[in-house]
Amino acid sequence: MMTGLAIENTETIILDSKNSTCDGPRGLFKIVVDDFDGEVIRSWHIEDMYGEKSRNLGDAQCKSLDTIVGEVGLYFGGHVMTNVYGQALKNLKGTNNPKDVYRLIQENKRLKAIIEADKE
Amino acid sequence: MGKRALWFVSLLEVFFLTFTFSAYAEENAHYKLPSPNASYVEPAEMPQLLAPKLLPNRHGIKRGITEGFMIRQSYVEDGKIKIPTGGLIYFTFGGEGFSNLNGEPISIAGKKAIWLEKQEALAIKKNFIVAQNKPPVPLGEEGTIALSNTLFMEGFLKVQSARFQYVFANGYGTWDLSTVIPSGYARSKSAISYGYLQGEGLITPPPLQFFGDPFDASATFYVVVDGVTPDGIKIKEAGALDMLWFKISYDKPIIADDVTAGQTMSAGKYRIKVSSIDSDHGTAEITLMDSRGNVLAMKTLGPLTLKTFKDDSHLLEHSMIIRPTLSLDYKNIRIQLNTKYDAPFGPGPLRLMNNDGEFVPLPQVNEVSTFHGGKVDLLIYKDVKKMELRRPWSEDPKFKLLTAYI
Repeated sequence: MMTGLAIENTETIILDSKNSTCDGPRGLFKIVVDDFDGEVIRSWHIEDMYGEKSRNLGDAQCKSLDTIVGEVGLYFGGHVMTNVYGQALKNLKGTNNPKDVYRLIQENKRLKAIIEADKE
Repeated sequence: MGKRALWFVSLLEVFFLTFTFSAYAEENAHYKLPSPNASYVEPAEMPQLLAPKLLPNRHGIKRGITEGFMIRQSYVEDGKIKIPTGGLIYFTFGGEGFSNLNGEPISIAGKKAIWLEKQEALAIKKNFIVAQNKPPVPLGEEGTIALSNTLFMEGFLKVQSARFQYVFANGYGTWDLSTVIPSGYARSKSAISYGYLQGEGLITPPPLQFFGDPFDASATFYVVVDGVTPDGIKIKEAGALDMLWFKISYDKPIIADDVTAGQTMSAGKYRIKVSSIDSDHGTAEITLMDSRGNVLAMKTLGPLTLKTFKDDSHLLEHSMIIRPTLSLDYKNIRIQLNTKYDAPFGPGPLRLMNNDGEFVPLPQVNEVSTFHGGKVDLLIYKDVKKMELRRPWSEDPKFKLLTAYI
């Protein structure tokens, strides 16, 4: 059984300070480069056709737009099973489960907010 | 400088230019992963785009849909950010792995669609070398599944051995194999007795029993290793499944239940006549006409009987021979028998719907509810879209489609 489809760009995409955005397949999402000085991508983000925006994915050391977005695979019993992202996530520096890191950051933010609220 | 020398220099220049041009043209991100410094966007951050969605198929069974994308091998050069070919890759997983005939839901770049049919092919390559630290070798054209050498061991018990794996164009490597296993077959020994396949490239329809075992007809691969040399692994023959095109419909079908013989229906500018129905043999003769009554196509759909489900159950889904007999396809119209089964992620149907609309385990079934009392249940898709893989996408030519996993 064949599962999953991929859609990829056919030509090299070039972005600079003038052309700072590019569209995904059929405009589903958009890559937006906000701050690029010719060497470092200090700020860039993703927008989708539903109007959602990601956080800033660039920083002072960022020299590529490489990113892994979401979680894909066969969805079965509430879990994403065959995960074509598996190796890409394992290959990441620092953590091979960035989802947990994101949750920790969110939990940290939540707890901090509670403490701040208590102080007031 | 003499004329001859000038000629030589210009010749050199041409060589150099073609070389650099071809090097540029070949730059792509296939078979590679995002960099270790890549960022990650969690589904909760953009839930409408990334969170799994549940959509029902025609029988109301819900399938999960997941979408996402990666950017890989991008870099900064000469004050510009470059994403090479294949660097921006979007993924979608839906119900297409469950069945082709039950109107499984998928989402293509955010647009809901119904999965109808696919043209499978077996990608075969013969007599080639898979070397370490070299790009993986695609089995078919660029963008199909490839073989890659992952480990090379020289002199282990005086035996040169190596490990290798299959890699999808999206960078996902799988099915780790070793040349230490005698004969290097990745599959059952029945494969050996069946010998090697004729021809090379993308062969369609794929030979159904190329592993001597009907369950192997889909979702699988084989490798025959010739030997290990210092240059790399010599492969005698390798094959894996891929797809040439698939068909979807963005619109829901017209569900034509209880059609009797002689009845005529209209669908857009077409008229569809059911000439005859044979419930015992599970066939229905369909005539497709234009609005003036000129016959455009005729076909006897079926046979779809209990035997098709019970004896050939795995074939129903996997056979490129049985599947097309259940529908009449003319340009972008498709008239299909309303198959009523559930294939819960395995080869072939396990449950069948009875006349009351309930699913019953296959061994207990004694009727095919598509045909009942001399009537037939049909489906009419008015606007079928055919999408070719590895070619500029008809709906956005800046992109092309690939398989993500088999």
